[in-house]
Amino acid sequence: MLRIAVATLRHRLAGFLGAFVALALGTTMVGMMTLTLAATFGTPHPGPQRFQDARTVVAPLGFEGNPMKAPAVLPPELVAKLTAARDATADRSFPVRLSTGSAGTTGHPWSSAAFAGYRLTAGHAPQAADEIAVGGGDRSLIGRQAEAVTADGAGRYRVVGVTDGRWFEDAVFFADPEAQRLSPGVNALVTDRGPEQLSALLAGQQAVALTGQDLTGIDPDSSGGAEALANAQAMAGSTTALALCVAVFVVIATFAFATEQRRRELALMRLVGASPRQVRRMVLGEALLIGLAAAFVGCLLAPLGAVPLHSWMLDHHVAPGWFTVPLNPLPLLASFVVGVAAALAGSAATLVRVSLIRPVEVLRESAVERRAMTPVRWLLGTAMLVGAVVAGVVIARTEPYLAASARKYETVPVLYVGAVALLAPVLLRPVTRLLTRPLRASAKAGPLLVRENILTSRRRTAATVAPIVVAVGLVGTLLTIQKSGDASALARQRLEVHAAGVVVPSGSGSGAGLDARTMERLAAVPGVKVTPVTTMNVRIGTAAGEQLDSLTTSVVPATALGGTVTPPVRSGSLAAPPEDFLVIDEHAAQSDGLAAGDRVVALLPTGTRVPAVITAVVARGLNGDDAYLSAALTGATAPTRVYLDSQAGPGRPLDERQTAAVDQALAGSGAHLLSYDAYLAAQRDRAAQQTDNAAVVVLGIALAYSLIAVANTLVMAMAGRRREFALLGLAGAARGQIVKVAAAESAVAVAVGTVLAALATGLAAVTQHASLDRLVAGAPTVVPWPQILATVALCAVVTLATAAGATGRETRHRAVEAAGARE
Amino acid sequence: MVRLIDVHKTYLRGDHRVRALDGVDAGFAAGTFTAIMGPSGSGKSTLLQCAAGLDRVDTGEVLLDGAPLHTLPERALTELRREQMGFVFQSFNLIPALTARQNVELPLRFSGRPLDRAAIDRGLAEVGLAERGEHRPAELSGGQQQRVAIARALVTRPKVLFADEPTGALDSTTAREVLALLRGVVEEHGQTVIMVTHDPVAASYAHRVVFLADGRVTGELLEPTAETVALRMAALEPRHNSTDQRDGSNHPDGTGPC
Repeated sequence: MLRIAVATLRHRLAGFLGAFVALALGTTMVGMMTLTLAATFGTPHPGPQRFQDARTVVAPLGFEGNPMKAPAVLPPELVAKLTAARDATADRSFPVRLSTGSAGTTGHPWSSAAFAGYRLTAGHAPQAADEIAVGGGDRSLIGRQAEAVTADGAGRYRVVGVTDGRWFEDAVFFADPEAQRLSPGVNALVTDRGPEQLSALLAGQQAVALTGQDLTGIDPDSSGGAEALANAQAMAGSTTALALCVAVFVVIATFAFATEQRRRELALMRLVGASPRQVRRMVLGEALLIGLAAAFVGCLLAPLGAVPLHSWMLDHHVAPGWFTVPLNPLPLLASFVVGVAAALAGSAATLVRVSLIRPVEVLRESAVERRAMTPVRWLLGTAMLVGAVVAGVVIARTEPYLAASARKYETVPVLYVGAVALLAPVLLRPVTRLLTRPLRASAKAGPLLVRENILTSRRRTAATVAPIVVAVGLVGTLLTIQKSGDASALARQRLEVHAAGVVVPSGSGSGAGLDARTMERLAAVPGVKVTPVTTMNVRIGTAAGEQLDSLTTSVVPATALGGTVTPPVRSGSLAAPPEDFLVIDEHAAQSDGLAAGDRVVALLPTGTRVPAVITAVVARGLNGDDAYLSAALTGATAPTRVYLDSQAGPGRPLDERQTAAVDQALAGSGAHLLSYDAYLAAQRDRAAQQTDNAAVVVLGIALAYSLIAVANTLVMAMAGRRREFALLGLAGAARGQIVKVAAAESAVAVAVGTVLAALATGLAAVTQHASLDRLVAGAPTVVPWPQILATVALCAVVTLATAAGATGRETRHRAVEAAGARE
Repeated sequence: MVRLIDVHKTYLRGDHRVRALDGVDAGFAAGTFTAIMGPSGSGKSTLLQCAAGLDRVDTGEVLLDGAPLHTLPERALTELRREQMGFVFQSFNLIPALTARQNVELPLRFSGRPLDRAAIDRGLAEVGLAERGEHRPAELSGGQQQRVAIARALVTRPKVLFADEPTGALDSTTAREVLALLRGVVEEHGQTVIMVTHDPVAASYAHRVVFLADGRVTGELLEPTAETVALRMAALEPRHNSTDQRDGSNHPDGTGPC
């Protein structure tokens, strides 16, 4: 039977071209995503990095014998003891904003550069106090002046040398005494002595000696680069999932449609003696052959597709600059298998119908389709709809915070879109009737044809509508979910913080906070309540030194709690907190087994351990941890933002005089004052920009593929209608009129697809709201109208252009020839 | 060879029933060439399809070589059709992707029989296409395509050849060649041919003509000539010109009484 399939296939490739294109490009898309995803797994840089050439490093001790990185410092008396033997080298790591380099540069003393394998590529090592060497810098930098801003303030330096670069940091090296001046604390001490020789010295000290593999513990990225790829991995993961869904869906639909279009030919096979079983095997055999060929082509194209994706990821800082996508046969093989399996599944979906083809059908010209819905469609469509609702309800009941992130909530919108696309034929008739109602009274031939063609060929129309539903539906649902999630996070923030204004340091994002002098001037402004907030990563543990958790906390003064800062309390109280308070959220409380009233030890980034008492447990944050730590415990910090309030009460706007005074206090510091609304708006804009950035890849690839599928299906459908068009021509329709009818039909298909996509979007938004409302009462739903309208317009352009083009092509012969054409 | 006993067949067309066959009794002896004639909608194509087991009868019996056909499951019917029946239609129904030879081979391939090259060459030669085996349908004229279809129908040496308007799409000269070929099938190989036609000239090639009107057999004519057939047809037709209609004469629907 395969021989007949092969024999017929060779000369009927045109008929299978649509299926081939859909599968080849689908495999390409899945292949490039899985290649990229696979590249984000594993440890790209195994082994110690920062101290790769060190024998032993003494580092500050954290919980459970683990070392701590900068800014944790070693006890000065221990440093004195160890350096007395003169065989120890002190390393300091401190944040520097370098005018010639990136904002997130790390400063080191030159003497520790060698332990990371840094070598000068040009110039000489920094010796004088005003000399620096730039890691990974261009040799043209040598001799240039550079400004370096550190916690100490801004200083002017001269670049005297450049070294090779390292993946884990952008380094700048100072002369040892200058580094010591800028950052007095020693973060790590490199020595040639073995740990056993140091054990006596370290006994009872807050320090630990590390050798060999343990040195990764004090690497800037202890995971050897895996952490830096987490973002890329999450993006590639969700994009792969989406690409897989869309590709499998489109391929199945296209193969089913291709089989459907050959109904008459298959009936002929039956007539000349093929049994239903033989026809089934032939259909499957063809799908297998096409599948193997197309999936193979797709696998060849996938690595090419991964190249622009890779550069996009680097350009948009989704992946670090050292990220590469190697040619890995495994993901390609997986994509190949998925492609072939999808092709077979698409054919298999039609097998029941193929079996029921009766030979006598060959004698019927083109019967009106009896049923548009198949049992498989009903089953899958209903299952997906139920799945979406169940997933929505379960998430709302158990982990509603998942709904705030489109990435984590992806399943629900994808299921809704799939369900609506599958159930499209059912909805086609009512929606089409509604949309074409105005055409009903028309006496012209065109409107009549458009309406009746759609209604009598629902399967064909559904094949065109499905990819439109996928394209518009994915953009609609996923962006609505993301934007509503972002909006809810902001709504929660508005509930949680009551401030009139916010002072943000210049170059926010570099991690540098407001310096002490500016803070003093701010605090001196009369009539303004100042609430400095410092974001800090704090480890909490038991008094016995057992680590419980690592939390991103906001360090605030006790007076702010319950006034300026009012997170929704679940247990405990925010009223009159003690000086050693710690507020954690439900998530941390649950996973660490903590409750209000428990005492813990907080390990600050500096290595200081402070006892704290949990005074309240608050609702889980929408963006990670929601935790607050008393500023009294941390000592002086450089706040990452400062909330300002009129002393008349939290949230009251500052008057002009106060604003002017604040502006004056900030003069020269680079920091600036924003109203709280403007601050939130800026955050919303930043979130929107990130969302749109992610959408370009996550959605863009799937969208492009759906659009190709739309065009592809249309070309297939129009090719199958050559005779019909010829008959129209014989009935007196001019070529232009036929093209217009076909274009109008596809315009209606776009409209129907848009309505169905809107339905999916509405369902997804309502389902998400059920979750978000539990997190923030009255959570907003934000519909991204511009993006949706742009997608609809794109679909309309592609559809109309393809329909007109394909119809024009099919009608280029004289009608009589085509009408008389044998088969 | 083929017998139909009190066969009834009703179609559901939209909301109304169409009685296509209303108690048809007919027999087709082995080694004979029978033409079935009747006005549009008289049920002649339905009769052919029921006789070939392509369509199921509502009531009545269809016997092939004395064995009932109407009770067989689809699978057995397929095998029976493959082994014992051949089909030729107005539209030639060739697979465009296959050459003439491959089209002829198709039934053998489906039935899993060995491909006897010599037999296929003979089959093509019999229909006068010995030289055209490697051509595809698009490269053949209408008459040649129909002859390929006949060669394909005969390649399994079926007992019965069913032909539905086999000359409907051909000019008169080519039609005569095809009809002579069908007559030859009967006379040289002793096979049975049952042909539906509306053309008195075509019918005149048959041994016998069975007339059908409103789903019933209204008479028959032995050793027909074009003239005698035309006269009988004129009597059956309410309007004279309807024998010229080329519309759905191979459709089982039509406008029969409800």
